[in-house]
Amino acid sequence: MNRLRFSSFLLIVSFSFFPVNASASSPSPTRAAGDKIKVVATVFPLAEFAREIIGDRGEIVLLLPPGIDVHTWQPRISDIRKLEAADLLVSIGLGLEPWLDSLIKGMAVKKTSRLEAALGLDLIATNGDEHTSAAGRSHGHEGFDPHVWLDFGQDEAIVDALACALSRIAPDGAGLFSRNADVLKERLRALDASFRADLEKFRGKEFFVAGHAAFAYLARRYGIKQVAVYGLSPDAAPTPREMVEIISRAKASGVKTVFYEPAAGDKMARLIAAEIGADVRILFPGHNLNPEQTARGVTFFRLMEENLENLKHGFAGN
Amino acid sequence: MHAFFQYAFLQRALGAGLCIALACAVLGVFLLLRKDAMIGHGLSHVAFAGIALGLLLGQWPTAVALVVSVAAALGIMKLKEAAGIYGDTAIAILSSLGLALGVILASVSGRFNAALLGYLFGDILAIEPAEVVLSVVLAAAVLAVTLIFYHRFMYMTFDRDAALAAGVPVRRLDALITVLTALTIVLGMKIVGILLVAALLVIPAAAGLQTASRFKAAVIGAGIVAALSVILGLGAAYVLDWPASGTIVLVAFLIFGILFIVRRK
Repeated sequence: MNRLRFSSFLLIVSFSFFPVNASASSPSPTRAAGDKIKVVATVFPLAEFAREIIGDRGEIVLLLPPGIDVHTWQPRISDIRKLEAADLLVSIGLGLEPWLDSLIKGMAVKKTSRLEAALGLDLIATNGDEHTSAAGRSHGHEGFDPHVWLDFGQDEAIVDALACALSRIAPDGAGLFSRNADVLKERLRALDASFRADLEKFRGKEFFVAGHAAFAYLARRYGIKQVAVYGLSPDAAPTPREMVEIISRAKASGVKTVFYEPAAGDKMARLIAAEIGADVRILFPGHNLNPEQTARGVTFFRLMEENLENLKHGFAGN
Repeated sequence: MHAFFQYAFLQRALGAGLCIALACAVLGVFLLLRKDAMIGHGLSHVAFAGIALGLLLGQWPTAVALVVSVAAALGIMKLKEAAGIYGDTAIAILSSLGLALGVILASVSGRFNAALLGYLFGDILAIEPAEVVLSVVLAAAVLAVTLIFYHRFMYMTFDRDAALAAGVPVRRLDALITVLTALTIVLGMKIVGILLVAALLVIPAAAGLQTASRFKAAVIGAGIVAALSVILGLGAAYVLDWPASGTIVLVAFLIFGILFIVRRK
């Protein structure tokens, strides 16, 4: 159902930001058939998906440098050049990339098509656990959790949208893109199945993140509960009483592992773990890699498998 | 209040907070009398460049920040003396330079992120046991130096020329205070955060100077105000469910305000 709604959205919304030269019959008149497609992706999962789909027909630029936090990054002038040179810009939206609008304003040439991956997905509102869809809204994105790629089912919809957007830019590659997208979706389904199988017996249990609340989509999909020290943004520090409440709640639910995420560091996690006698493990939100992981060529799938291992360790302990 | 006895993180916040507050209060009195109130603010910007440089070099960021900040503090002193530039001008120049270099270095090293922020903005609620020890050592060092050089510090603070004429090594003692200040700022901001260090360097000392007519009373008064601010501030932050650092600064300001009004009557 999601996918149907999504594709109708794609036609209406995603290309309306930069209308791809509306008068021309071919989507991008400057492109000759067989030219490499240039895609700029704001965050790591989008770059990974785009790379898999596009195969050897194009190149992907990941805008966010390794190890940088997406919320606080400051783009450079060269990043505007990257956008101007691109055929397609893929972002998440929902305020995840607060710097993107000013980057786009700075572009002198606006021929780039744009895809906002979160559009039309089944979103989680940031106040409470209520499931809300953005379908009823235009593009006033705040108020929803932007970490949508941590729901592997929704990732399939993102993959479809990407393949569709790429096919519009390079219609001659449509067959390849759709085949590659099918392979990628198959891998996502396998990943989803392994998460489901391994986490099924922990349904309803809580996991504590001494970082920002990035894992709501993962929690929703597998029926586990995220308790986060920080809010959605990693820089909102807790008050003393919030700390005490989190520690006593962690103690009460018998947690044996406190998770941290790379953006916030492990200091707070170690503090809580020391208070309740637990150990500490990492969970990757995955919007970026650190420089060392980039050098090793860690994939999105590898990252998520590591998350699964750590989650299993955490749940098995209590 | 039972939470303070139950949770180690609150005890660590209290212990490290008190030690750093005392070190800041004592140094603050000298700094205010030297009209160097903005030095905490200035050196924290320089420390930012130092941390970024350390991350770029991949070596001990806090140590690099210490070296850079001490050098900058001595540079501010030299700028004041040699060029006849006012203290606040010298601080403004070096802190702007520090901020600019920090932004560039962080961008070049590609690590404008949590690592940098973690080194820059400590959190009084997330203090590690080793940092408590470090705070105790820092406070002890500041207090010991102050006690040892107490009379000479006092002499040169009130009458620099007479102290020079009397053969007091004014330059070296100036440098000693400056180095201690840089040390307190860099370690303090890593442990309890920059907001708190900059405030604790100025407000308790200002309060102490409000009330006291004698130098010794001002130093002791500043220490008491600093300690009360940390204790009452942490308590209030817990009761009111407010952020800890901000509440401590607010309490310090309230104490200063009350003393100011009482004094004027």
